[in-house]
Amino acid sequence: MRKDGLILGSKSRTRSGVKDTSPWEWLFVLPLLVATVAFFVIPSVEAIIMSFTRWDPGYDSPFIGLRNYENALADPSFRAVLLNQLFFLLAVPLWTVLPLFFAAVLRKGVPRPGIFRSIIFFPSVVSAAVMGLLFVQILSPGGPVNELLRAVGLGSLATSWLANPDTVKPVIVVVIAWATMGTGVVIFSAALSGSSQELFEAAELDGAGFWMQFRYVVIPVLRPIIEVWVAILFITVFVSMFPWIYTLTKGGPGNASATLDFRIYESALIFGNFGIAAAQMVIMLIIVVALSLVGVVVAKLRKRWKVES
Amino acid sequence: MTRLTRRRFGFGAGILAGALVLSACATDAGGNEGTDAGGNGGSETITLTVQSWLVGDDPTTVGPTMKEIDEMFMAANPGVIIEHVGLPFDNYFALLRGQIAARGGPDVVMTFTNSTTLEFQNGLLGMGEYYSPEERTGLVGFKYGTDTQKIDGEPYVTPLLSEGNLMYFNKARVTECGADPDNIPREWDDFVAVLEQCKEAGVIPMNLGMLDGFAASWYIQNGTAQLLTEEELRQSAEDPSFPVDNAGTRWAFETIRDLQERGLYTPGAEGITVFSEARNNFAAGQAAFHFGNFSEGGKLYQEPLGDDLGVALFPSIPGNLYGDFVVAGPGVGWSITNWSETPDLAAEYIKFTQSQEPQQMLFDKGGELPANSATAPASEFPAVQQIIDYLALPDNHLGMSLSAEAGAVLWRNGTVLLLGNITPADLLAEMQAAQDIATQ
Repeated sequence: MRKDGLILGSKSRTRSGVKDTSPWEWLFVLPLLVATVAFFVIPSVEAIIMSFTRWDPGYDSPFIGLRNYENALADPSFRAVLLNQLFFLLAVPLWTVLPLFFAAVLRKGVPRPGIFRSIIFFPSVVSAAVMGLLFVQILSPGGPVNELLRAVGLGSLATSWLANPDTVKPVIVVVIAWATMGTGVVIFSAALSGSSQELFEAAELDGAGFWMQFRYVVIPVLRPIIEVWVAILFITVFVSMFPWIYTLTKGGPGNASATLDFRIYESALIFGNFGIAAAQMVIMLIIVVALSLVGVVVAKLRKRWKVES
Repeated sequence: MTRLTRRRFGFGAGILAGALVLSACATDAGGNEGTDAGGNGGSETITLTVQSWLVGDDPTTVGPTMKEIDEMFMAANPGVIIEHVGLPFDNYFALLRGQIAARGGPDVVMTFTNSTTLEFQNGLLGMGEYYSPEERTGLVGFKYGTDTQKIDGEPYVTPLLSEGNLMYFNKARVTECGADPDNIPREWDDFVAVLEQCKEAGVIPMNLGMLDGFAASWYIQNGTAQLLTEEELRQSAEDPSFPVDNAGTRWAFETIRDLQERGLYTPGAEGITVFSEARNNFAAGQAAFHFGNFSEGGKLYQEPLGDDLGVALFPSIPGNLYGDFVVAGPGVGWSITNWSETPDLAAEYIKFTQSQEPQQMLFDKGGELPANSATAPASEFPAVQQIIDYLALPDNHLGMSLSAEAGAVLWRNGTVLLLGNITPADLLAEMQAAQDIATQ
C-alpha cells in the first residue's frame, strides 16, 4: 500500500530491474497509447508501405517498387530542399544563443524587467501563420523595412526581401529568431531563477563581468535546459517549418526556401504525387533518426570523456 | 480502498470501448441522416452543394453575382437549396484532391476548362449525356476547348466564363512616351521600341508583378498561340504529356528575361503579385502598358483610368503562324462530382448558370465575359466594347495548355526566372521533369 492509500496491483520486476506496469497504470496510459497508435504509428506505417506504390488515396494504388524514391532523389529541386534544411539547421545556435543572452541580461537586472519580458514574450503568443502574414507586409518592396532604409539614405539596400533568393533564407532565420525568442527567454529565465544564486555571487566576487559569467556560469548551469531547447529546435527545423514557409514564401522564390515538410505538402496536395510525398516522408524520417543517433553518440562520447578526464 | 482486479479492469475497459463504439455510431448516423435528407427527392428539400473560388475570392463583384444567380435558380426550383461554398483559389485544388480521396464533398465543383481537370477525373462525372450538339456549340470555345477534355469520349468540365489575355495601355502615359496611343505597333520589335521610348521618358514601360508567377503563364499562352501549329495546340489540349519545351515556351521565357534585362518592367516586379498589387499599380496610372486578363478592364480600370484606358492585341511575334487574334477560349468551368446523389439537378444548375440571363449578369455586374455565345453583351465603355469586338475575331484560339505540375513549377519559379537565377532552359527542364513524374 502506498502512503496515499492507493493499492496497486502486485508488481513484479523485469530482468532489467524495471517495475512492470500495473493495470491501473495501463488504464491511465491507454488514451495516449490509443491516440499515438491511431494517429501516429498506423499512419506512419501506412505511409511507409504506400511509399512503394503509385498512391492514389481512395483508389487503386499499384506497387511500383522503389520508383518513388528514385523520382524523389533524382529531382534536383529536392536536393535544393535538403540544402535549405541544412541552412536552417545551422541557424539553431543563433536561435539558442539569442534567448540565452536576453535571459542572462534580464537576470542581471534591467529597469522594469516585467515590461521587457512582456515585449520579448509577445511573439510567442501569436501564431506562426499570423506572424508570417504580418512579416510579408513588413518585408514587402513597399513595406516599412524598405521605407525605413530609404528614409535613412540606405535606399540602395532596399530589396524584395522574401522574393530575392539571396536574402530569403537569412530573413526567415531572423523572423524565426524573433518568434522563438520569447519562449526561449521564459524557459531560460525560469531555469536561471531556480539555479543557485551563490554561483553568480561567487563569480561576481571573483571579478567576473557579464560575459565571463555568461560563458562560465550561465551556460554550464543551463546546459541540460539548453540541450532540451536545441532538441526542440532541431525537431522544429524538420517538422514545424511549414507555417512559416507557407505564409512567408510558399517555398520560393524557386526552391530557395522550401523545406522538407513544405515539399511533402506540395508533392501530395499541389502535385497530387502522394506516393512521392510518402517516399519523401520516409527520407525525412531516416535523416532525423540518423542525426538523432549522431547526437546520442556524441553525447555519450562526451560523457565518457568527461568521466575519464 | 478498492483493489483494481483484472475483472474490474476488464469491465472498465469494456464500458470505455462501448462508449467509443456508441459515439462512433452516433456520429455515423448523423452523417447518413444529413446525406439522406440531401439526397431524397419528392416533397423534401434537396440541398445541392456548389464549390467555387469565384465566391471564395471575390466578395465584391463576381462572388455576390454568383450568389444572386443561385437565388434565381432556387426561386425557379422550389425545394432546392443551393449551398455555395466559397474557397480561396490558393488552396482550392489541394482541398479538391482531399475531397476526391475521401469520395465526399460538394455536388458541383469549379474547375478549369483545360487538361488540368483531367487530373481529377477519379472524382468527376462524364457530362456528355447532359448536352445536345446544339448546346455544345452554343458555348464559347466548347467545340474547341472542352471537346478535347475527354477521356473515353466524355467531357468532364463545361465552361462558365470565357477567358483570355490582351494588352491594356494607359493613353496618357503612352503619349508621355512620345508614342501614338491610337497606333500601338502590331509587330513585336516595334512594340519593344515603344517600351524603350517610355523608359527614356521616365515612364514605367510595362507593368508587371511576378511574385505569384501567373504573368509568366500568360506569356506562354501568347507565345505558343502564335508559334505552335493548330495540330500542336490540339495535341497539347488533349495530351497532358505534350512537351513543355517548344518554340512558344522558349520565346516566352527568353522575352521575359530580355525585357527585364533592358529595364522595361516595373522595378521590383519580383516582389509583387500580379493579381492585386500589379493591377492596382496600373489602375493608379503607374505604367504605360499592362499585359492582363480580359476581365480586368471592365471593373478594375474603368473608374480610375476612364477614357485613358486603351486595349490592343498582343503584338505579333516573329514567326507568328496566324492573323489578328486574341488568346481566348473557355475559362473557368463546372464539373459534377461522381459521388453526387443528384447529378441531374447538378447538371441543371450548371446549364442554368450558362444560360442567357445569368451570363448577362456575370458580364454586367461581375465584369466577366460570357461562355455562352448566345449572350451578346454590349458596353458603353469603349475599352470593354473593344474587348467584346475582339472576341468576335474568327482566328481566336487558346495557347498551349500547361499540365498542373508544369504550371505549379512555373508559378514557383517566375521570380527567379525574372531575376536570372534560373535559365529558361533549366526552368523548362524542371517543368518537364515535374510533368513526366505525373504522367508516368
